[in-house]
Amino acid sequence: MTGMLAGGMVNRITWLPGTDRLLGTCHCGAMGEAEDPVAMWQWLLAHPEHPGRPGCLGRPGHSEHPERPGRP
Amino acid sequence: MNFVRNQWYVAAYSAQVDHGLLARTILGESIVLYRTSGGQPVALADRCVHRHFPLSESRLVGDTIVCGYHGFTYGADGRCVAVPGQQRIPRTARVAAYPVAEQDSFVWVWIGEPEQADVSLIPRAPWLADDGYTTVSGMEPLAARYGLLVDNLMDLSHETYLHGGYIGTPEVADTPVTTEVDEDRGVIYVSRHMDDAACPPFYAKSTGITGRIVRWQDIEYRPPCLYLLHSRIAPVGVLPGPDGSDPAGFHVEVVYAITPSTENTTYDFWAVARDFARDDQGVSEFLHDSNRTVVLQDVAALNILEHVIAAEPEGIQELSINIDTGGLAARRMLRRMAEGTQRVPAEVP
Repeated sequence: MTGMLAGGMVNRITWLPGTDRLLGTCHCGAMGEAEDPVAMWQWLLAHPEHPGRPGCLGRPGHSEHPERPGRP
Repeated sequence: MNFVRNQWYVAAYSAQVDHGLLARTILGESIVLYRTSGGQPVALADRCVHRHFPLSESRLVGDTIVCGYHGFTYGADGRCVAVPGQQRIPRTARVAAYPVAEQDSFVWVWIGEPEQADVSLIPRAPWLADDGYTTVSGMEPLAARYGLLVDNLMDLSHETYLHGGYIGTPEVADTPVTTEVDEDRGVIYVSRHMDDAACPPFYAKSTGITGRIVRWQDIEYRPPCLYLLHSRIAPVGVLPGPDGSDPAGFHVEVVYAITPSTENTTYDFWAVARDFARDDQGVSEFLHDSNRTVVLQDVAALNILEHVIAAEPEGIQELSINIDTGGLAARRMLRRMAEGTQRVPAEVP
């Protein structure tokens, strides 16, 4: 299997070739860029209120890092 | 991160469950497994109701377990059918029976509310029981919390550093990944396609390819338990046809079942299924030994990491970079599943 996911609620983050930047695409079609996967996920998961203009994340704010795997 | 209950977990390979008693601890619950004379796998709470002696340390007589301490005898449904020295069997004399199912060479046990167990929710790894593939497999106990194994498997760039000389080459760490999360279906997908990469010994010796390769790694994680790595290897420039057919590609399906045992121990089930050199016993032995070596390299590293993390204060800051995109998605989905806020798929897609 080499295909990606095809459902209607798929969020995607692509590492832009030749750069350190990430491109996020929400299932609603909104797109934004970030340099940090934590900020990128937070931007995507803010749906439907993605910060900044649709299509341009601009400067994502500092994001709190998710916790590491804790003891169950 | 808490345990994710109301889920199916791999307890053993089907071949491990026979007419003997097998002890497992899954999500902190002590379970004894065996197979009835009719071939059905059974999973019962591994503690006699009387004085809590482990039933796994007892005797199987017919399809019943006779407690090795005082002789309380339990049927496959967990009900006590005999107690020593008296006719009356107390009404409460029964041990919990876990929903159990066999699929794709695994014995799956449902940990949670039994009435919610639905076998259609068990994720699939069909290659492991497919005549078109040859599979080698094993299980290594891990002295680390299961989340560390999830982190490890979701970011394969570590292959370059931890598994150099086996499956790691420089291109793995150097190639960008694409990550997708399907919230409805509860799937995380991480794709790394290398168009021109060195062929690591793991694949060079098993496929016979001597030059550089196209190497695709497509991770499909179905939290909490099942992790699939769809791996495609071919000489540089050899791609699947427009119709999806791929006769010149070598396909390896790497399957992990990540079953939490206690808060800081995990069962690390691994299997490698291939669609080439299927009858070559030498290739099977090589892939088994090589993959086990790789798994044990992970186990050694994660056991060290568990010691470090266990000694650190809660909430200590980490640093994540682009390679962690998939791992962060997995952490979030697991946390939401544990909290009960993650959507639950109606059935396995």
